[in-house]
Amino acid sequence: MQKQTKRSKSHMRFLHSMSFTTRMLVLILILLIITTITFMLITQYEVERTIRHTINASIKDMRQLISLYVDNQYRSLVFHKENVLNLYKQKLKDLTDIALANVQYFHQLAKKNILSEEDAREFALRSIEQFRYGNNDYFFVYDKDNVAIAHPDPEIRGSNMTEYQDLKSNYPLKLIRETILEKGKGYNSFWYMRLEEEKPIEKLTYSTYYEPWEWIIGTGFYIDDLEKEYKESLDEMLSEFRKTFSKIRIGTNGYFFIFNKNHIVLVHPTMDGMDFTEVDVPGMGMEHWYSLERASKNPDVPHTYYWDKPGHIGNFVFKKIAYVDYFEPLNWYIVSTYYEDELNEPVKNIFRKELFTALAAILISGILTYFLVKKFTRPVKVLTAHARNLIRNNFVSDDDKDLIGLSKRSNDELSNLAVTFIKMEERLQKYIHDLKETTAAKEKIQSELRIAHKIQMGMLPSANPDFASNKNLSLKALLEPAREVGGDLYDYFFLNDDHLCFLIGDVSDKGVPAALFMARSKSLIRSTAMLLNKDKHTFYSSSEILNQVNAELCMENTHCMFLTIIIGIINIKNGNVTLSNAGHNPPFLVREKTWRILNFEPRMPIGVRPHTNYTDHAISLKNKDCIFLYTDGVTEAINEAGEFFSEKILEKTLRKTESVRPDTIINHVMKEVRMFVGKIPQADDITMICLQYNPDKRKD
Amino acid sequence: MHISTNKENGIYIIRIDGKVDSITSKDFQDAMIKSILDGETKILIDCAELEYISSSGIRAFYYALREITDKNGIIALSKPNDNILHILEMVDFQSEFPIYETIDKAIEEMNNHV
Repeated sequence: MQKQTKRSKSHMRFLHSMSFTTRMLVLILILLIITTITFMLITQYEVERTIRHTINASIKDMRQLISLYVDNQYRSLVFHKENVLNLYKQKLKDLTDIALANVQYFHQLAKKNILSEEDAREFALRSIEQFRYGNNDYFFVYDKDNVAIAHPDPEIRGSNMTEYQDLKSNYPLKLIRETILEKGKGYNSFWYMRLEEEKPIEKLTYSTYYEPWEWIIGTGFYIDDLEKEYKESLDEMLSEFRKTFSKIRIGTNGYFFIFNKNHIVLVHPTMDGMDFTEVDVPGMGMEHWYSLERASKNPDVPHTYYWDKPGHIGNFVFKKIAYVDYFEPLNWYIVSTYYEDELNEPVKNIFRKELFTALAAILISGILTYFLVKKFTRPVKVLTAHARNLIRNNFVSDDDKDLIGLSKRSNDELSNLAVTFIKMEERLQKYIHDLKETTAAKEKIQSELRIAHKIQMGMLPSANPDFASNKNLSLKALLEPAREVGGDLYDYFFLNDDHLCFLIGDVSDKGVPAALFMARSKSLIRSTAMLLNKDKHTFYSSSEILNQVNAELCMENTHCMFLTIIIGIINIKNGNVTLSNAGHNPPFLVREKTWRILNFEPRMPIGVRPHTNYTDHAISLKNKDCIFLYTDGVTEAINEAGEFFSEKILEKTLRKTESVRPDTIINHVMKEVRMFVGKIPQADDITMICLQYNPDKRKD
Repeated sequence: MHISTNKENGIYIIRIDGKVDSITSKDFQDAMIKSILDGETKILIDCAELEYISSSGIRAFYYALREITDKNGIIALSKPNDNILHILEMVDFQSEFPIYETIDKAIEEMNNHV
């Protein structure tokens, strides 16, 4: 099954690997060939049938004609023979009447007493005795006692012929008397030996009766002349047949022949007069004669045998069909015979012509199909070529003329396809154009993001491992940047040995502008914080820093960007902290494991209003106190349900922290946030900074 | 986010449904700027259906505020939910943008503003 499928598939592949033109050509040629073969088979069958039928019918006609002809010839022969016989008979009667008239004449003479009755009888007999005609034929007279009183043969003359028999044991006189008794006169046939001949010959006799003297007067003649004449006519007829038959052909070499019941061939193109018994050749001889004779019993059933033919004499391998008609009057067998292969010759001829015509038709059709399909598929080729060019030229078509020409050609499917193609091409080009722009824009964004990210990360203070150990302070900071840089920042730096400034902020935008704003803010804060207050010889407080930086940032802030920020300054000697908040999320404070939010009076972010007045908030940190600052990336982290991590959850999370240490706290919160958001990508930077006052660390 | 606008008693009301975040804040900002350029001077942002506002959303307010201040106009908010209010308070939003509990109150108050 699988093999079959494979084979058919490979067959399909073979078909599909051909060009459309070739496929059409193959298809049409296959159809043509199938049609032609079917047509030829049908016609051959029909033609063969028709031809066989025609030939058989014509053979039947010919047989009938021949039979009629033979019959006619025979009838005329017989008619002629009878005619002649009748003539002879008439002659016999007429002559006998003359002889009778002769007898009557002498009787008259006796009645008129010119002669005595005795003399009259004597003269009558003697004169009849002298009568001769034909081939020395004569008359006879018998008296009432059957004594031959007049006869040319002296041995018979005077004899009583009552007991005389002919060669066929007939009693001639007895039969003659019967005829006379019955009809008064009539014919009889007897058989005698003619002089110098051996076979008995029929002698036809006519007898009449002369009552006054009780005489039988008659004459006869040997009718072998008639037979001879008949035989000659028969021979003439046969030679006539030979001439006629030789002109009649069945097929090319088929013929008629006649043989008789004595197995003598009477009429045959080559075997005239031959006796079947004398022929000792395979396929011939008596067997052949018998089979032919038997075939005559069913004259309309073809009889087959093998024979030689002209050009192959003696080679008895050619199948012949024969019909044998029996002509009863002459005991003749008339055979119509022909060679089977010759019968098929016309069929073969027709087949050859048909084949030639079909091949020519297929050839012409093939050529026509080739050109037509070429013509029909030209548009497809144009389209294909165009499409190929399009691909090669990165979908920028330089020339649409070919397609436009095609689209205007007519209203068929291919023209529609061309129109569609042109439209598709335009859309494709537009799409590619858009795609290029989009890609360029995306690329631009990507590179901007990279730049922004670099700026952001470059601004963060590098972690100093010795930082915490040397001072009364532990500090941990974390910035987890979002893919689109969120604009978070943190910073911490020592103003002098005792004072550390720390800050956390969030710029209200993303990307490069936010990063640049952040950078500007950060450097402004650093430089401002490091400045000494000239009057008091102290540092600016955190609020003073914000006031200064805000005023600076509000100038030329065309994009209206702002920064929420908490800035703090811690004195690590005593733990005093001042914090200032500019619109930022309030920080947490943990003291003795108790967390609380350091709520300040709200103030605007820096960068919005130039004259905003920020305030300081002082806290005094005790040992182990922690301040936790964060950006809204923490509280506004979203989970899969679309919920925020929120300040509340953050507070809970902080409370659950195992130990109050900056790194533990930050790691714990980060872990919880990650678990909370699950698979949702981080939308904003997550930044945390946690510092712990540790004055007793050295003592520990 | 979905924005719809209408005008009522001379107050141009912009109603925001959904979230104003870093992606949608641009549309929100454009909506406000367009109305200002069209000559509107009293704009009320209906926050009843506002679910969330990010810092970039707040920035859009400040941006619009600067534009309308030049034309002696006013931008106010009405009916923000508690979360939104909490965020707004954090950045001292009320100092620049009046926040009203109802739209009617807002319209009344704003019409008194000269």
